[in-house]
Amino acid sequence: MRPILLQAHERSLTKIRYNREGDLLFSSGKDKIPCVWYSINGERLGTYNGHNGTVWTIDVNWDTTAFVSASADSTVRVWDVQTGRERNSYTLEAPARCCAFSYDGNSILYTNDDVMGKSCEMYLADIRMRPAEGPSVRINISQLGHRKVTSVLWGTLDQFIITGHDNGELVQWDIKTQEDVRKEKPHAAQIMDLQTNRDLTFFISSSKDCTAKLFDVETLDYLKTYTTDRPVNSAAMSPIKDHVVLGGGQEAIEVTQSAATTGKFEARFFHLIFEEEFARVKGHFGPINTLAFHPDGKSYASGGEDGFVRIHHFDNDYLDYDF
Amino acid sequence: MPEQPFDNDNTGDHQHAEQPHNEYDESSSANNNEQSGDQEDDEQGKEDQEPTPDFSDDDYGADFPDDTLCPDLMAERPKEHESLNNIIVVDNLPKVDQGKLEKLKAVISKVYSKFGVCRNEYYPLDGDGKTKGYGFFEFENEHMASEAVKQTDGYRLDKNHTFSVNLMSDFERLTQVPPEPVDTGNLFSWLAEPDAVDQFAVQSDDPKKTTIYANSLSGPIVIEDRNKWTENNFVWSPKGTYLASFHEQGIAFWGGKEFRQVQRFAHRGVNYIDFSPGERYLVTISPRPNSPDAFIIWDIITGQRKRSFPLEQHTSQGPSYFKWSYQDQYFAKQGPDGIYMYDRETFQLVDKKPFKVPSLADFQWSPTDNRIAYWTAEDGNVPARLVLAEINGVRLEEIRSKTLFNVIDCKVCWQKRGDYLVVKVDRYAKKSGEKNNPKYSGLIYNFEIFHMREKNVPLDTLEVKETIQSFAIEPAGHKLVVITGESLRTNVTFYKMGQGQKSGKIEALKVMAQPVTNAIWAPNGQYVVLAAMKTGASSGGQLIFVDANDMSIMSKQEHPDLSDVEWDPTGRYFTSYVNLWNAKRDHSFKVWTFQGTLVFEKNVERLAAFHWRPRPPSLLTEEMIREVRRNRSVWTPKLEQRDRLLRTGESAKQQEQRRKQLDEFQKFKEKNIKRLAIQRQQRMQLRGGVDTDSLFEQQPSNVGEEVVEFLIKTEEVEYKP
Repeated sequence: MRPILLQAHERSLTKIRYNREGDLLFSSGKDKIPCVWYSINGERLGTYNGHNGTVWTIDVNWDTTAFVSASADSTVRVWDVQTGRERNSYTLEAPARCCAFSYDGNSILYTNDDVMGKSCEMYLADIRMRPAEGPSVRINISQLGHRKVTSVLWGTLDQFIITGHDNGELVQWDIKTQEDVRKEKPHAAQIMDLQTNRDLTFFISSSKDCTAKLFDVETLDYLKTYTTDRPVNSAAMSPIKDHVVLGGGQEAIEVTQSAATTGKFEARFFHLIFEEEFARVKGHFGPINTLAFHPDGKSYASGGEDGFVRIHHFDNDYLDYDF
Repeated sequence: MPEQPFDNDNTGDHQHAEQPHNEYDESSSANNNEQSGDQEDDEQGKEDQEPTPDFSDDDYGADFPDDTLCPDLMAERPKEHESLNNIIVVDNLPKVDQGKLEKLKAVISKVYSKFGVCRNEYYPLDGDGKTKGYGFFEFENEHMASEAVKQTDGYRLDKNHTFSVNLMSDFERLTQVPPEPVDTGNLFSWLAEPDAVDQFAVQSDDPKKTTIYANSLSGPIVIEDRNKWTENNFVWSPKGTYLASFHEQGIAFWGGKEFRQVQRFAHRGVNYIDFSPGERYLVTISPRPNSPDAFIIWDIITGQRKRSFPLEQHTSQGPSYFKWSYQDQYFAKQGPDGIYMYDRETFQLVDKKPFKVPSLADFQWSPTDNRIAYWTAEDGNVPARLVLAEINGVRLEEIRSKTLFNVIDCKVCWQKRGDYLVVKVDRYAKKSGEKNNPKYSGLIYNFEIFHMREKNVPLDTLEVKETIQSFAIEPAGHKLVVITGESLRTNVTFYKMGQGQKSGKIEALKVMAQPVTNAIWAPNGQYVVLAAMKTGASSGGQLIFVDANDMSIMSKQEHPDLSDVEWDPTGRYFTSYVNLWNAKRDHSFKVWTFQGTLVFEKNVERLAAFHWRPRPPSLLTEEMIREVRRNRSVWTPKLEQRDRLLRTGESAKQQEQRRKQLDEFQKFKEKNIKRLAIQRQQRMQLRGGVDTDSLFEQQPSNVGEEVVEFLIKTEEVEYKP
């Protein structure tokens, strides 16, 4: 089936997210304006206007009422999904990098970069409170001896947080004590993305060291590795099959001199358990920055450095195929 | 086994230097082989084989010891060591039968009579009553014997017989050559692999690692993997027996089942090596100026140094400085005034002088005959000439020649079977500029094709209008592939070189417009791969697999940044690879079938070299090959069955492994499912009592049964009453 091409972003994509039901697809890029789309036909539903810099990360809560975005303009904003109106704005001292909704959809977690002499910090805030009251929790990551946070995840039942760092480290934080409980260094280079499976028991980390790895959420136990020959920017797990999809490619900074074939910008499908690659999907002409599986597992979307979002619906052959 | 083959320097290179024999005679090379065996056995063997002449009087009074019978006489009897000093052993005598023995004796005694009285002579005979090719001569005293050794060692009786003379008393000393330190085992064991699996070696630069794979049916298997095996490069010998590794101190050869060190050749700073095609000699090249041995020629089996040559400034110093004739009989180099040809007996110039060829530009040996093709460049008013010549005794006789005008360059290429000699000639229409730096315009290209197997060697000319990028001759066949045009806009033309009656007619069979740079024929012809190597203009990478029988494209593949390609020695597989000199990343090799189906690919970081292990030429005769072809229907099912068996064995193993992985993972999942069940209430609490776990899960209550009928097959049956 032909992929649906979503072309509204003027610059490269940074993050795409489906809502829980999968009818909506949210996307953000370096062009300041996150968008929301109907995932079924690729029609654009609306935009969230207000940011003044690259939007690095977005997330949507479980009942699709609130939408959060973290931007390089040093703000984290919470929006009303339906109206596109800004509900809250949290101003930071440095560009914001990550944000994520908790399981209950009432709290957000966000971090900022360690630039301009500022240290990397992680904040928790309840979106029902007024933003003037500030975050409820503030952890100075740099002071605790960790590197910049590049990706975050909420753990089971909102009891802990997992952060990925730019040196390849994974840290598990206890929210109550605000301490790092577990620390692993599974990757040799920056972690680009962390995503969980549908029931939030496993998560997959993607790294610039050309691998993606599978872990247990609670114990951080290492389970599997998926190896490619290019930096992996994003990886997602199929909700219905034991498959993972990896996206990445030669780094954008080096791309200008190489042909599309040598950049290897394909999405690669691996078997979750056997760690073997079994398929590739071509299409992007720049590295894939972000990937997401539709919650029904029958399609997936990818956003690339080339500014396009591509929604691919699987053929029946794929869905019938049992590996 | 030492990792570093050269850690104690200068022990290996001289250990054979004292061996007495000249290895070129068949009988004595057999002796040599025995010497490398166990030492005690060896000496016994020597005595059995070469009984010393009987000087004692054992028949007399055999019952009593001689000492008791006549003690005073016995005190004066000749001592063994004395007589040994008087005896010389002459090796490399002609082998003659009884009839000619007297004549031989007369000739030989004439040689030795001048040194003194020959008291005794003895020619051992073999079972057929022929002499064994060596003899013993006893002189009256030591002086005569040693003089005879000094003067006749290396004496040339005739062309084929050069004496090798030693004192009998030296024999023991000479046979005490230390045996080879390691038993190298059977060097050909790799050829005994039942499925004729070929091997290849891959070298990566950083870390320095050489890996040898066996390309088995289910995919390559690592059979040897060593770090720092070689310091810069590796080379397979032409028949694949040895793997040569390069070291600062010289070259080491590895072979046998476990790739143990077989031989080494100490030559400091060696850069290139070259083999004679029959794998008997090795040329090591260490291009240091002012060194008397920039080039050293070695005997591979004994490790003996045969001759060395200094560096010459005026000629190229590439690895094929010396060119070997097809049976290693001669080797030749291009000298300032012609071809310098040496023979392998003496390592001296044939006929003691070079073949004068004024303004010689290049020459090439035929791969199957003692023939040389060479061309001479234009010199003033003398036009260029293309000559085919044959070695006749000590002379070089011209068979065929052609005079060519306005020649810039020629490229001389022999077909692998020696059936054709193809010369690409670049000519010009106009020449301008200075004499030393001429400028040419109006370039014309053509091929001169010699039909070697036909009477009088007919010569064809093939004109080509466009710039020739490259060309390739079918190794066993009659086709010629020429790639013409500018980069990326190239045409591939298939020609058929006429044969038999049609000789002289070159047919263009097909033209394909494909952007490629090289054509690479399978070792046995018929299949050819058109490949686009990476050039300045493009990253290349196209691989087009063509069956030249009907000029059909079997498949088109790609390997971006392609550095080079290589057929396996049997022509079943083809590999393409990207090395570190050609690309910044993605150094990898891919193995394809001859039809262009990808079998295997592997990324090797900083891949430096990839080479298939060559095989010796097939022992099957043309007739036997034809026989196999005829009985293909008998063979095919058997082989297919074997393939299937191997494959199912592999897949069973793989399935077993997968099952294990699956079971392990299932345990993790079960643990998580239990945990999820416990936390279900808490989860619902967090989301305000809404159960979000089962959005897409099928509700069992909603599932009903439905009967669906499919039409599977229709059949028409004729009703016969």
